[in-house]
Amino acid sequence: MRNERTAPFSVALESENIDLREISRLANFGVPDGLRLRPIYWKLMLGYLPTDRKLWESTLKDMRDLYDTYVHQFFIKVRKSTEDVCVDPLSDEPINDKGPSDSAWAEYQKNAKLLIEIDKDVRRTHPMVQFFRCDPEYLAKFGVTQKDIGSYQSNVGDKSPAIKFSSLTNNSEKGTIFNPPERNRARLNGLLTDFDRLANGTFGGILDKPQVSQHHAALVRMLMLFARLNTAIQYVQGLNELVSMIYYVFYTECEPEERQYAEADAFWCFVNLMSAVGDIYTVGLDGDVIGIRGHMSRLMKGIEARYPACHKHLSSLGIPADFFAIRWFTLLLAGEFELPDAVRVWDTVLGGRVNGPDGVMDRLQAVCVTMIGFVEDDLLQCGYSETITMLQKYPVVDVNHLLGFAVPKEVTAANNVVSNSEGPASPGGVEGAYRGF
Amino acid sequence: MLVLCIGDLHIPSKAIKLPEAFKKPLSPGKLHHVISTGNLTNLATHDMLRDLASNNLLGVAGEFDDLEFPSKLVENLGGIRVGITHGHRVIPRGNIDALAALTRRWDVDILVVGGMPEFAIHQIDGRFIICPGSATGIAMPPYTAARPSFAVLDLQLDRFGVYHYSVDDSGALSVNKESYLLHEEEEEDKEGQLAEGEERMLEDEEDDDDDEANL
Repeated sequence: MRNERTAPFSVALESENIDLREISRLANFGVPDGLRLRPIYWKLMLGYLPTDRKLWESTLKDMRDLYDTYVHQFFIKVRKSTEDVCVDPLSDEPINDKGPSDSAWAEYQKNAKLLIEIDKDVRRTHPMVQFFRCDPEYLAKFGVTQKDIGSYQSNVGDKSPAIKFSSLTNNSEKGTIFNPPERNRARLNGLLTDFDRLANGTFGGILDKPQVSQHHAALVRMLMLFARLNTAIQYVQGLNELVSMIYYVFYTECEPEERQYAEADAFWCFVNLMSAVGDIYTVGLDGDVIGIRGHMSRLMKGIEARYPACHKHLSSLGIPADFFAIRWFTLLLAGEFELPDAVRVWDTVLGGRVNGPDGVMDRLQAVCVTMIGFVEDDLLQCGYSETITMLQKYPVVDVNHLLGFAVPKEVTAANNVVSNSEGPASPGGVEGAYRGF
Repeated sequence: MLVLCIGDLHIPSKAIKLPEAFKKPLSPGKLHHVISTGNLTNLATHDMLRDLASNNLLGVAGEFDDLEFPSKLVENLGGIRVGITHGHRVIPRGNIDALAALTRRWDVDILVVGGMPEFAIHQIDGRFIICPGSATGIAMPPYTAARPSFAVLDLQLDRFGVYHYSVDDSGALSVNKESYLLHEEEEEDKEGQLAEGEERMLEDEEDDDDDEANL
C-alpha cells in the first residue's frame, strides 16, 4: 500500500521535466511522509523550483544568494546608511519628529515598531510545537538561560520598581541578565552568525528580550524582509502562521545539509504564496470581488450549492461567513488543524496552483465548503452560540477523509480530463470546481 | 537601538517640572531603553520615564532617591556593555580618572554617570564616559546650575552616536550630534593591557572597600 502511493510520487519527481499536473494529482492523497519529498513538492507548486530539473541548482543558488544580500542590506547595512544621511542633527534627529516624514530616522522608527509587532506575534506562533519552543543552546550563546527569560517575562508586567529591579539584579551575580558569557569578543563572534551578533538575540537591542530560538529569529527576519519589500501588505497578523508553516516543513523535512537554506527557500516560497493569495490581506481590496469579502460571499454560495441544509441553517441563525471563515482564509486553514494535519491540508490546497493563478484560492474555497458539510449532522443540531463555537474551533476530524470530499473526483482519478472541469479558464470558481462532483 | 540617558531631575524638591521643550522629544514609543542615572526623585517621574520605553527602565539610585534602585547596573545593550551609576560615591566626585577606573573594573564600553549638571563625554582607553547632565538644569553643589540637558545614544554594532538635547535660556531646544567608533583599540599592543592589568591589581583593594560601602 505504501509503495503504491510513494513510488509514483518519487518517479514523477525524478523525471527530467516534471509534470506538475501529475504530481498535483498524486499529492491529493497527501505527499508521502518521511521521504523528504514534501519540500520539493511545495517548492514546485509555489513556483520556486522550475519544472526542468537541470535548472534547479542554478535557481536555488541565485535565490539563496539574493536572500543573503537582502538580509545583509536590511539588517546590517541599513543602520550605516542612516549614519550617512543625517548631516544636520537639528533637522533630523531620532526622537523629536521634527524632520520630514521620509527621513532616515522616521524610517528607522517605523521599522523598529514593525519589528516589535512582528516579534510579539512570532513568540505566539505554535507555542505547543517543540520546534518553535525555547532553545536553551541558542540562548546560552547570549549568556541567557531559559530561567532568566521565564523570570524576566513574568516580571514584565510588574509595576513596582522595587520588585522589578531587585529581581533583575538578583538574577545572576553580575547583576545583569543579558551578559555574554565573557568579554572576549573574537571568541563570541565565532559562535554566532553575523545576524545573531548584530542582534544579540534582540535585533540590536530593539526587542526587550532575546529571541528564544534560531527559528524565531529566522521567522522575524523573513517577515521583516517581506514587510519591507511589499509595502502594500507590509505585515498583518496571520502572515506569521503562513511563513512558519513553510519554514517548519522546509527545515524539518529537508536533507540535513540543506537546513541552512531552509530560511531562504521558505522566504521565496512565502513571497510566491503571497502573490497568489495576497489579495485577501490587502485592505484596499476588502470590498472587491478578489478581496476577503468576495471570498466570503463565494463561500456562502458554495455552501448553498452543495449543502443547502447547512446554508439554510446558517442563514436562519443569521451567521454570516465572516464569523468563522475570515480566519480560515487568512491563515489558509493553518490555524484550524494541528500542525501535521494543516501540513496535509496544504498539500492539497497548494496543488491547486496548477490550475492557474486563482487555483490555490479555489482549492481553499472547496476545502472550506467541505469543512462545513463534513460536520453537517452536528451542525444542524446546534443553536446559535454552539454553531459559532463549533466553526470557530473546528472539531478534530480525519483530514484525509475530509479532503477526499473536497477535491473533485476526476482530479484525483488517473486520467487527463482535469482541464475540462477545473481549468484556469473556468469562470465560476467554486462552481467550476464542483462541476461533475 | 535608541537609549535615553537622563537623570538628576530632582522633582519636586529642586525643580517643579521638566522644561516645556523636552515634552515633545520625550514621548513614548520612540525609545528602546531608558537609562536613569538617579535623583528623579519621586515615583511619578519614575513612572513617566518607565513608560517612555515600555518598561525597559534601567535605573540606579542617586543620593536623594527614596525609590529602591540598585547603586549600579551593568547591562549588555545590543552587544555593547553599558555601566550605569549615579557617581556620588566616586571620590573625588566627578573625577575623570576615578570614573575611568570604574569603566575598567566593571569592564564596560560605556559608563553613564549622573551627579553633574553639565553634559560631558570623555573617551579614555577606548572606553567612554557619558554624563547626560541634569534634565532640569538645577545646581548640585559643588556644581552650579547649567542648561537642562539629556542625551540619546544610538547604539550600533561597532559605533554609537550621541544626540545631546539641551534648552537655552530662551527655552529653545538645541540638538548636537557626535559619533564615535567603539573598540578602536581592539588590536592594541600588550603594553596597554599590561598597564591596565597592573592598575586593576592596585585598585582591587580599594574596590573591596568601595563595594562594601555600596552595599
